[in-house]
Amino acid sequence: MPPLASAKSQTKSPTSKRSGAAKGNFQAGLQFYSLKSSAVALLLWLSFATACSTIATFDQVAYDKATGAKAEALALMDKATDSYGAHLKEIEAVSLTIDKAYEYDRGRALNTVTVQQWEVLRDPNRNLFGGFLRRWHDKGSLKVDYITEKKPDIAEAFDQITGLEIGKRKAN
Amino acid sequence: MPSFDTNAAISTTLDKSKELAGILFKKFVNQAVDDTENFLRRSKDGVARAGLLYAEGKIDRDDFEDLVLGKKDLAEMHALKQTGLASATIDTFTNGVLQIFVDAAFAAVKF
Repeated sequence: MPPLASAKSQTKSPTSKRSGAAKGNFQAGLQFYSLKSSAVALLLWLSFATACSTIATFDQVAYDKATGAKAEALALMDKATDSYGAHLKEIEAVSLTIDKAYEYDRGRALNTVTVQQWEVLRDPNRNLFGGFLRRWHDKGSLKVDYITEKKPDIAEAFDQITGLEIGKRKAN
Repeated sequence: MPSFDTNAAISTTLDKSKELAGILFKKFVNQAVDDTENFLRRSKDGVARAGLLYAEGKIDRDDFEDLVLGKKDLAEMHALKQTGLASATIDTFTNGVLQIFVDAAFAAVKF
């Protein structure tokens, strides 16, 4: 029997080694699979989160257009003590500058909030810059005290737009 | 043989994300409150000045109404800004969590 046992153990030994090696390979495979799954999960999460941005990133051009429009609008307001007709070209030029800034922002993805801000500011039926131009047009000219009191409001309206732009996350 | 400690990566990500949320959202709330308080104070002062100008006859009723209604439009623009800034803060947080997870994931890989 011992020889047989010995033979058995001799014959079993290579099998055992093969089995151990297979087990090791299996474990390594599992670990590799686990690592691969984690990497895939991470990539999926990264793509999901990147796709889930809720608002546009900061745009220097949009910021510059808004600050430029603010300066032009405030300078124009000082002239509203004169007749509307005397400054028609300047009014059209400033309106165009504001329209360009608005259209630029309208063309940006995930930029609805800024576009809504521009719409409030430009609307002739409301009481910010659009309303100011309408009142100037309707009245012919405006009182200096009214203009002096209105200018800080218009400046602040532009500041709300640029303030939001500055607060947007910088693109990676 | 490389191994990956998933629990460590997740645990680190959660801890650091809580810390990041605490910093980011607290900062956002404090700034929003300060900004709103300043805005309300300026609006109140502006309406008071407009009322005085109207009482002194320096502006007409139509001008006065426009100045008051302008504050309402400004309040809307202010609210829109805060909405946008809240979205930007959420995006900053999401990106921060991703960065934390990437760092934690690399730290959790053992070679």
